Amino acid sequence: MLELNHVTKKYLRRTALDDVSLALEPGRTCLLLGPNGSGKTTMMKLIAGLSRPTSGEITLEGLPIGRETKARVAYMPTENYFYNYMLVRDIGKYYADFFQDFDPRRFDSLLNQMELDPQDRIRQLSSGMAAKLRLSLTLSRDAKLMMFDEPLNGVDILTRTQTIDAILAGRREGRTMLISTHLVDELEDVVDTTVFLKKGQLVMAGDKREICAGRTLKELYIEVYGHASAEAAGEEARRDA
Amino acid sequence: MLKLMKYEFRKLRTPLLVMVLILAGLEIGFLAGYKLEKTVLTAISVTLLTTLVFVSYAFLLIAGIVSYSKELTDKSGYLAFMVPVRPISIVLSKLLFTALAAIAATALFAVAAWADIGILLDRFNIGPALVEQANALLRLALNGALPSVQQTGQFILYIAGTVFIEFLLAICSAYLAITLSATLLQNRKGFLRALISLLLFVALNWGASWLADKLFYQHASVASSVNALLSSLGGSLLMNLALCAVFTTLAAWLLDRKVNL
Repeated sequence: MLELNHVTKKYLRRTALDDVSLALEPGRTCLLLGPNGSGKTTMMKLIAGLSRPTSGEITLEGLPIGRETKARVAYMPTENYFYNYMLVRDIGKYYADFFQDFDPRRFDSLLNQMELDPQDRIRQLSSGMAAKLRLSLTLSRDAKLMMFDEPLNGVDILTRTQTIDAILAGRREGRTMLISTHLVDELEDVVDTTVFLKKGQLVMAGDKREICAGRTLKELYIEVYGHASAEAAGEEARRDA
Repeated sequence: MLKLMKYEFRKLRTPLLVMVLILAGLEIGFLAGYKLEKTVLTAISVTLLTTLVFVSYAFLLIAGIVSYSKELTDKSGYLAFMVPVRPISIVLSKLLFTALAAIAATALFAVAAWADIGILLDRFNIGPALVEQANALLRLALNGALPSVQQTGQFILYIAGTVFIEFLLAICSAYLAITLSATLLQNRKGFLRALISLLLFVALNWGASWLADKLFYQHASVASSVNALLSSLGGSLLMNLALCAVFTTLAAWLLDRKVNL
């Protein structure tokens, strides 16, 4: 479904992704793991068509990244990306205008579920509320590939479960979910594929059970990135909460 | 593309509304000065109205360029580049919106100017004297050959077209320079990128003027025949239009191949 062939992305003297090759099957829920600066966001932006690789090729259902694939990818970035003038309801209208698979009724229902007021000005939302809005927008689409970049960033501990539940409720047959997070514990039981990135390179990827081989995902994470990285991730998660 | 233009309008709706309100306020001032026979108020209103025309075009030019630049440098650019539209649609939507806003502003100013000038000519009874002065100037400029009414109409149309296309050319060259900075030069340091794109913007505009001068105006002086002058104006207008198309296509092509948000 999604294929990355020898994808490299360079910024100035830094290589964000280094010769990454990866294939994701349809219907899988994939966890993209790696410490800060490992290339997770870069990979998602390349797939979403917000950036072009320096070399290599990415295809979705056999199509190179472009206008056709953008209609099939729902991407939740980790930052706010709305126009300053926008109210919550305006961004729903924007998505409805451009994405044929956007369901305004589902969006309204998610806003209600997330306790967001359509009349609220987006720039005045707290980071947690803005994260809920980004999540609601992404989940209101009926896309083949859904990508969530650090969906739990800035989300308090009570909302975290709600967020995870909402993401998991979005799983469908044939739909691939790609989630990047530091919080391996909370998604351990629901993912079936894991991808480990380290300094832009693909360290490990495949079926979670095969890769873990009896270990927990957290144990494997510590093995790959070391205690310092795992503790930093935990600290970051606590701070967000 | 129309949907993208709709959102361009939404972004600039408030400043555009402010512009219209200022125009309305100044018109009220002008009419009040005329009715109450307060010459100072009339003069101040006319001066400010004239200033508003230049400020409005400058605002539209800058707003059009800044809006495009923000799409390539701010996170809000995700909105345009995440949706299934071609890069050429993104560039064209901004260009066309700015062009339409400039046309709408011109229409608004033309209506106001037509009414205000009519009132002024009537009040001060200077209409015939002005026409005589304009004819004398034209005779002087065209070696005594006064243009026909049709030629005068053509001349005004060509001048208006040239100014409009020059306005678009400035935007298109800025788009190309900004795109180059955000794509091919993305791995250069910020200052160097800004400097190169500024130099490119200046070079593109200077190059277009130089080319028009070489191709169309070298042999046509102010004292040339009316037809020669019209032909030169028409030629440079078409050339600038073609350059607009080339710059826009190149910017869209760069975005398609090298976008980096």
